[in-house]
Amino acid sequence: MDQLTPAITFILLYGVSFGIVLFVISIGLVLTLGLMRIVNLAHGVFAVLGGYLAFKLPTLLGISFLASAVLAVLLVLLIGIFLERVFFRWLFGMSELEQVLATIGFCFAFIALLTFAFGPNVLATKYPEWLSGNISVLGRPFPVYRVFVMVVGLVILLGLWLLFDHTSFGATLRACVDNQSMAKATGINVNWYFSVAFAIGAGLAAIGGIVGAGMLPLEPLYPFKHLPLFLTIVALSGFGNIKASLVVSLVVGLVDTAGRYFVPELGAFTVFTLLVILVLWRPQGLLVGLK
Amino acid sequence: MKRHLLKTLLATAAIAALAPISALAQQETIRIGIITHDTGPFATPGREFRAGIEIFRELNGDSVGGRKVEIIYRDMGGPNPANARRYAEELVVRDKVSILGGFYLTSDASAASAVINQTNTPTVLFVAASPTLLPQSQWFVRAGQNIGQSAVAAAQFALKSGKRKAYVAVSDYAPGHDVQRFFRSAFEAGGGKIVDELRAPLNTVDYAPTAERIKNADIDVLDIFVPPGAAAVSFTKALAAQGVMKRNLVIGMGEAEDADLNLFDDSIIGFHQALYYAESIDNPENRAFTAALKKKFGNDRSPTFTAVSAYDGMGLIYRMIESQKGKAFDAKTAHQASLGVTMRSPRGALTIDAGTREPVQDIHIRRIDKVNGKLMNTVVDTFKAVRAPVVAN
Repeated sequence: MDQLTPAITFILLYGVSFGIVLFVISIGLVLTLGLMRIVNLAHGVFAVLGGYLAFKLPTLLGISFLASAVLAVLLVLLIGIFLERVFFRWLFGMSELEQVLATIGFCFAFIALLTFAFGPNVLATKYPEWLSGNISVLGRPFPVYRVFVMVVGLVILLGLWLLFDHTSFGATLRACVDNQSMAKATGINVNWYFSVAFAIGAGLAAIGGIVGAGMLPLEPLYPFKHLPLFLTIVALSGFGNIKASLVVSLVVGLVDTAGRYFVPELGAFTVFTLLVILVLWRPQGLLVGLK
Repeated sequence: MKRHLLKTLLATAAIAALAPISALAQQETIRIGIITHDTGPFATPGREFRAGIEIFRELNGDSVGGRKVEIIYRDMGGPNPANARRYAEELVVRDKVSILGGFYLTSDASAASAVINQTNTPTVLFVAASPTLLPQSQWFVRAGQNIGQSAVAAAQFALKSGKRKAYVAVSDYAPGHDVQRFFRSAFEAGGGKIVDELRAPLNTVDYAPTAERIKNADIDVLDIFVPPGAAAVSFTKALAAQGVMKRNLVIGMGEAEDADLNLFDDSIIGFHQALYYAESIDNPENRAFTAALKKKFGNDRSPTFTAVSAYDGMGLIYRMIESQKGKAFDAKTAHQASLGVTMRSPRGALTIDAGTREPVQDIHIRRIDKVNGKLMNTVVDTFKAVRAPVVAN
């Protein structure tokens, strides 16, 4: 018992903070897949781009990390709108296979671009002083950085909930998704709403990339390397279900952390076994049908 | 099977057809083929390969023994052994290279060995470090290290420092397993005890659980081996966050060279590494190498063991070419010329053992410290003229 309690608090703290990073990065993909039915395998591109910008801009422009993080997210939002207009829009209505090929190709091209611009190495990421150090949580030292990650995750969750369930923007967007032609008939500019939704997804990924860089190091291969993790979350969440994706992210984070702690040799095996079992059990998504 | 035979026949025919031509033209260019990684997950060491080769040619010229040397690169693009085999075949048969070099991954060299054996091509392994590799081809000569050299030195350093309870944590792939075996057998042979071991999968993202497990073990030394880059950064940061870096002696291999230190924060201070090269080695060769590197690639570029291995690999290749004395290329003479040779390398004296074809060299234990406000590797101990250990089980 004496040995089990610290193990459980460890798994709770680290599993939840890891899960929240996964949630913040994947939520954009859950949104675009759910709202626009685009299988975007290049979603990690926005996360890594946000990270690179946030950690490169302070030295280039001489601004603080916080300012550059905000600037980076805004830039990725704009880039998201631009890319949606010139590239992703063309994928609406294509077959899944075509979407997969086009977006994975885009992903590879972007990896090559990052390698060309910044070299193949991992990017040096140093968070500001106030994020270093430990505080005591549940009777054990816990990095301030991970507390920060949890706070950011909760703020985003709250923001999304307010936006989608309590604003007319959210209601309109849901209308666009549920019945596109009826929404068009009532005079809603459906394309504009999709652009905005896509940009929000890109911006959230950027936040995840910046905040999560302490756990998922930034490197050109990032969008490809971590794709299985993001897709796991999306597959288990079902279409566009934000609440489900939070639950799923936390479950994946906790199971992965527990698995790596108790049986390190199995590695990612535990989390992918979970994926197989859950998909067989609830192929439509974890929380679908539970309401 | 039939196709395979046909390929072999074609390859032999091509070489036979070539022989009289090259006999006529003695001053003809000699081509060497370098199998490397310019793109993909191993592009970082691939860049160091090119740097080492270019610096070598800058300092030693692009011709030797009256022959001009032309280099043909092949990019593996990722860990795909089938490509190594194909590129080796293309280089030897179509591009008519006389010597092969490069090879970052053991699997690359292993896959190419069949072609090398069929075509009798002298081959210099720059970095591929598995102890199982050399028996696969009599044409292989190693310029980097046998991974056991550094792993055994790490164990001996731990014993020398009075450590008796070890944890071994390696990445779950062949080189990691090799390090684990060599460290374990050397540490136990010296009276130490391995308390626990673990293999973390290569795709591990969050190393906090691994570090937590290590923290909870009653140990005084931790030996790790993970690939440089993302894995090394995440793992050492997680170890530091759990206080393992301060509490225990932590020894790695090439996870945090000076060139990579900008990726780490101050929590890396105190991390030890056993390796055959150290940036701070003070000899004329290393000074010239470092100066040429900084002049060519900029002041913020630091030398790496990978670049030095490629540099020395080129040194061996040039000796092979020099041995030809202007005659038609003879593979056996070339291969013999690399055996038993002692070179003055940036890493110090480097001898190729004539029997095992393995390098005999000093292994340095380096510790990361903050010198004048900058993180740096400093040598704290050196094991002289270390031979490749016999394969441990």
